[in-house]
Amino acid sequence: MQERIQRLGGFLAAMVIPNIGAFIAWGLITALVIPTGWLAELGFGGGNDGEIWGTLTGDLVGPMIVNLLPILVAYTGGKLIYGHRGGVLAAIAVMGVIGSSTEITADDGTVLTIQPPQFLGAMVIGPLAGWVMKKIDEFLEPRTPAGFEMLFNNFSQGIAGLALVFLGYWIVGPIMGAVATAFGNMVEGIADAGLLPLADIPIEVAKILFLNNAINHGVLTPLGASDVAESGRSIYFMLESNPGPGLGLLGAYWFAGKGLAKLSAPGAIIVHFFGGIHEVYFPYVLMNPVMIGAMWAGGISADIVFVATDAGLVGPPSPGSIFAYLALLPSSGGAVFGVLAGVAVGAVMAFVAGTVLLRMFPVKDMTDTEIDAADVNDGMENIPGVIPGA
Amino acid sequence: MTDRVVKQASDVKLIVFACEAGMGSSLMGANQLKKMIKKAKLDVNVVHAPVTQLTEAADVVVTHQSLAAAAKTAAPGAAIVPFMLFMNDPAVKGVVEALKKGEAIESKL
Repeated sequence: MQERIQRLGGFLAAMVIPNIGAFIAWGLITALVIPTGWLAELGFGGGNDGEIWGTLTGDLVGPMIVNLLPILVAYTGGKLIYGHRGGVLAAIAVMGVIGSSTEITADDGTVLTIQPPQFLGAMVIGPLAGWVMKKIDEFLEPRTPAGFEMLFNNFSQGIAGLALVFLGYWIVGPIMGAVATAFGNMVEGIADAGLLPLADIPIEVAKILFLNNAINHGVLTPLGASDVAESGRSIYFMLESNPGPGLGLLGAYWFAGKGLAKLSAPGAIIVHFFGGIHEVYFPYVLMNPVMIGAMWAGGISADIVFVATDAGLVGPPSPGSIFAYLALLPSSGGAVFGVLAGVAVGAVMAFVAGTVLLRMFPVKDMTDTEIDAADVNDGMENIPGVIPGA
Repeated sequence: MTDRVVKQASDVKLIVFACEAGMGSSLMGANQLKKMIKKAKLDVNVVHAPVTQLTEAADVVVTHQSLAAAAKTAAPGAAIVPFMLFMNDPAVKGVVEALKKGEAIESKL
């Protein structure tokens, strides 16, 4: 079961993760140039009312989320199935899906975004197009006369592209658009009811089962991107990637843990909190599952702070490092405070809960006898900031 | 369990460090392992990959224990070495030690 979810979630994430750089670029551009962005807030270009910001938003921010990001996701999905040829057909096909959505335009007619942004549609039609291209090639290859390979290749792809664009425009787009809208409304309903922090309960469990990327990039990153297009920042980027609670958990092991777990915790903190590789803390929960309580304490209280302060980031912080958080802070002062406070509160709460839990349920000494401190220090020497033997 | 994959040290040319996405922890793990391999002066390639995209070329797959089953499905011909901690796990060290001594590596599942 877990393997299956991992497989599906892994595939969804695999379509998004190679493109995170584009999401971040788009997030940074959005943060800088929208009428409520950094540059306008600082008074450049005539401040919030400056014409230039509306123009730049229409010229850059809109087209990137409407076209660039879904095309990249679909291309990657097609490529995963059938290489570059699959990717190209997927990029063609997703244009039909994108075209089927309703455009949201500014007063002067520039396209700001589409409703809904077709990430879900891209994740469906991308792999589908890859599969179709593969089947077509498998069918045509033994039937192609010598010398006609290029002609067959190009026109089979072109004609398939024509068919898939129409399929996307009339069938896949409207269906996936409706699904995405329903899903978005559901999440929005949960958020409006103030229940978003409860989402942390399944998220923390999924994380330590190595479904972290599936949840974050398969679901939350596209959701967050749509959110940023509307409000300039999104809380969805922070639900999974907050490095605070993991920091608190590792701190608790450092403070109240024993044996190898205690010795290795400082190095893990560096890699987790600054490097953003959350995977390093999962084993510390898996070795003493009651510690999920510390993650919940940190994660839920952090999310409450995020909700209460209307905090958000402008792009997906990937990896979930504190540096990524600092780079993607929004332009509103209150939200900046909320982001930092949420990370801090998450760390403190997880540390307190983790320390109490470790005192009540000490972790069974894992192979302490086989590994000594020297061994651990030996492995730490390559990690910045850790002084072996210290 | 005699049907477990056993790789002779001389046959091990490619070690794949696998994680779920193939971008974060596996990259870190692979770099650590590379350093250990280099220190031991072994002629073995180390790469990182998502666990679902392992190929036949892998001789040994090093991955977290909770992803080991997925690794086995994706690369049935490789010796799977699961580990628990991302840093300095004895299982990862064990691979380097075994190769240095010319010992075979047996798949753990």
